[in-house]
Amino acid sequence: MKDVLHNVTAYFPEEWAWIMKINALFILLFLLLTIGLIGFIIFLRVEKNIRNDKKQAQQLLLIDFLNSFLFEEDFDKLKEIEDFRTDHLKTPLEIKVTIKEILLFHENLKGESAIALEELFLQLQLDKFVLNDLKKGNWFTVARAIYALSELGIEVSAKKIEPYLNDPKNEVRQQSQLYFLKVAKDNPLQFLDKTERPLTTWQQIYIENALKNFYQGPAPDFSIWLDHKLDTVVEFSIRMIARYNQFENIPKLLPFLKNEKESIRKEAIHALCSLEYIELLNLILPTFKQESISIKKEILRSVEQLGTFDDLKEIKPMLAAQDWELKIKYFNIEKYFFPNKKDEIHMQYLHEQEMGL
Amino acid sequence: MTPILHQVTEIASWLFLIYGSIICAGYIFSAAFSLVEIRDYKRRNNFEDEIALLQSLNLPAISILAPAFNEGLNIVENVRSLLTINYPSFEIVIINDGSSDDSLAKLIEEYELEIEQVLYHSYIPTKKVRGIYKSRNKAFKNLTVVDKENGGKADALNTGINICKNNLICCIDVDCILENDAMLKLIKPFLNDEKKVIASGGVIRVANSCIIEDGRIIEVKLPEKFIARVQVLEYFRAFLMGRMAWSRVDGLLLISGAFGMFDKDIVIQAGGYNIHTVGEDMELLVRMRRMMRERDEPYSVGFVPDPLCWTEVPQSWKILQRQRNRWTRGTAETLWIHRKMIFNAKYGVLGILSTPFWFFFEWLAPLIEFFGILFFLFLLLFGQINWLIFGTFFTAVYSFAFLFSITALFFEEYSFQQYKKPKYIWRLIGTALLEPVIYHPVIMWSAVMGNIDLIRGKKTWGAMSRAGLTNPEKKKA
Repeated sequence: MKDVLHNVTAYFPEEWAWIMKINALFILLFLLLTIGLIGFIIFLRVEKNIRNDKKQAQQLLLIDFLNSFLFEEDFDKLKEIEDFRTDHLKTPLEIKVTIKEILLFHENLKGESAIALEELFLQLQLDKFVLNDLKKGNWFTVARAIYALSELGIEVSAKKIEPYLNDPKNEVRQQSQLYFLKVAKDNPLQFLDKTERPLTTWQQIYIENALKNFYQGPAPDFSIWLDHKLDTVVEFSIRMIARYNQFENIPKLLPFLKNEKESIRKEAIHALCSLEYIELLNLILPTFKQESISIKKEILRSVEQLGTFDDLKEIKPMLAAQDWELKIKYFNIEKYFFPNKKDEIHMQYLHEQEMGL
Repeated sequence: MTPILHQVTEIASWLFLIYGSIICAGYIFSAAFSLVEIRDYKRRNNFEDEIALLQSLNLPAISILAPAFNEGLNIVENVRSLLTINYPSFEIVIINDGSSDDSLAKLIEEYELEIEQVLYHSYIPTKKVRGIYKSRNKAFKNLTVVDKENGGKADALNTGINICKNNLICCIDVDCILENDAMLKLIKPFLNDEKKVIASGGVIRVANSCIIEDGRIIEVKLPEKFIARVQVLEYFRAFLMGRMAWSRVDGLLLISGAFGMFDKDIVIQAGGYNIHTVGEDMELLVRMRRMMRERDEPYSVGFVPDPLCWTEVPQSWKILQRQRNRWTRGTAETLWIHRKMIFNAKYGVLGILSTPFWFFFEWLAPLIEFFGILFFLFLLLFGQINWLIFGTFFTAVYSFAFLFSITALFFEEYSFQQYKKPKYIWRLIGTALLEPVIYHPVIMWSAVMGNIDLIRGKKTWGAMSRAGLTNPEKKKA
């Protein structure tokens, strides 16, 4: 380093003070970096443009190919697939675009066409490329590979995917969850048994969506996971019991009304209310006063859904003077019960607010 | 010059040099962290289209709060644009902050509004609410308009917080333009983090000269005017380099007031927006983070680098100066209010890194630069300038400033490449060349004036008139 510095500064006039030499050195360095970056920006732009052109060409080719493959009767499938594979799947970009395009078609098609696309994927030997990605070990290529496998319902040995259920990266975990769900013929949530990290809300939304939109088999009995060690899995299962109207599981939900975890209690009240369990209010109204604000809100919601004004009145003495959020909810429910007395109720609320009652 | 003065001069020169070098080092680190963060973000989001999730009914409802003050010119179109946001469940709360123009009348007429008796509680004290309006037309059932006495942006937002229904609030400027999936992207950190997320923010982009139709950006164009174009570069630096880096180390102190999402309960617990500062957006986030830290509750703050929100930046020097003057006062006020956090290890990254950085390199930098110029004039007066040294030093600083802008441009090119036409790159490079000598001195001076105004006790925002975002081709026609 010292030598390099010495060699560079040797080009500067000798009469220059050391500070000037340092300045000049920095100018050179910054200029070189700037020129390098501008060059890189231009390279990126050109490379992106070339890539986009190639992408577009491949996409156009694929649209023709896929349409002919799917909808033309006199299309010589075996020969054309072989030709396409040898002529148009040579570079990683061509392969990536082809995978993406097949996934896109697959997303928009159902029934026989979707199955034909899954077969085409295998015939083009794209699964090898995806499995190769899976072996690479980078979390983002792994997530992408699992995504492709699950979208096309291509099954691989469960042992290859299972370790990713507890990967430190959310995205990898999510894709492996969806993989098991989408390839399952029955028991789509079996992967929950091997899940050791909490489910994020985002993952729960995805799982529910996939259950409703992709999974074809019989609805699972969600009560199986009510004793799961993860709270998030228990909450998810309680919610799903309600969403899938599994009334037979109501007795199994009741103990959760006394669960020590607030979020689980709340989920249980919500689920039982959705299932219109008529005994619910008798179980939750007596404990109203001891509950947290969020549970109290949930109880009020249940009164609105299942109760009468008499049930609501029972709560009134238990509302603390400063529980404004609850009071507002209370008065709004009262308005719901007596739509003709809205003004009166509003005045009552304003009066209480003014008096700090 | 006396020997003592000479010695003082020597020491001062060294101090300026050391300070400048630390700033440069800070920028280099921030660039490195941002690069890693952007790379990771791209990897996380490049294989799956999440738009399909917008059809899900399981996404939590959001309350979008938009304060409006004398926005009569465009309020109807702006609200229409907000009502078309692509998200399954949301309410729009427009808070008319005592406008003296016809904003409210226009809204009442266009959206068939009528007063409704809504129950709410003022968790955060605000100026008096005159009325809460809802539409008779079911097509606008998501819209609530609150009419209140003028109290400033912070007060208007606090009113919205008191009245809105949902637990997630998105505070935006009424005239900003949102991308189709903006809400979904902004809410994702709240739903996909194992820790409690208290806020998330996005990148703000410059909408000047862009082609806009029905409240959506149709074509991204580089602003015609230099003053707006240079702010494009500035926003690249601030968002793609600065905030991305702070997000990487969980040290973000600012979510732009133009577009940010918050957990309402935490906002209320923290006391809402501070009406006594002009930097209410920064102050709120710092206060929320401080509160969580003091309670010892694990939490995080999300940041989304996608271009989600487009806004109009000042196109006149006068307005720009007012804006920067205000930003300086806001920063100084926030740092003063939370001075306890600076260099306080109890606050973790915030205490050790973020607040000291903001203090020394955001608030103090323009002042030191200004004193540097005075020092230069002093040396000039005493004939102490070695012009060769000055020339090389100035060129070194200038070339670093240019390099910094080019790095920001590279980040944009590497990440989202919004400015697609090749000529835009050259224009931005040209702008970066001129910025240090034309734009930067104005910004520095505005910051100095901001500090002077702060000492004088100025608390106002200053008028911020805008040209309005319309289709430039239509405008020409």
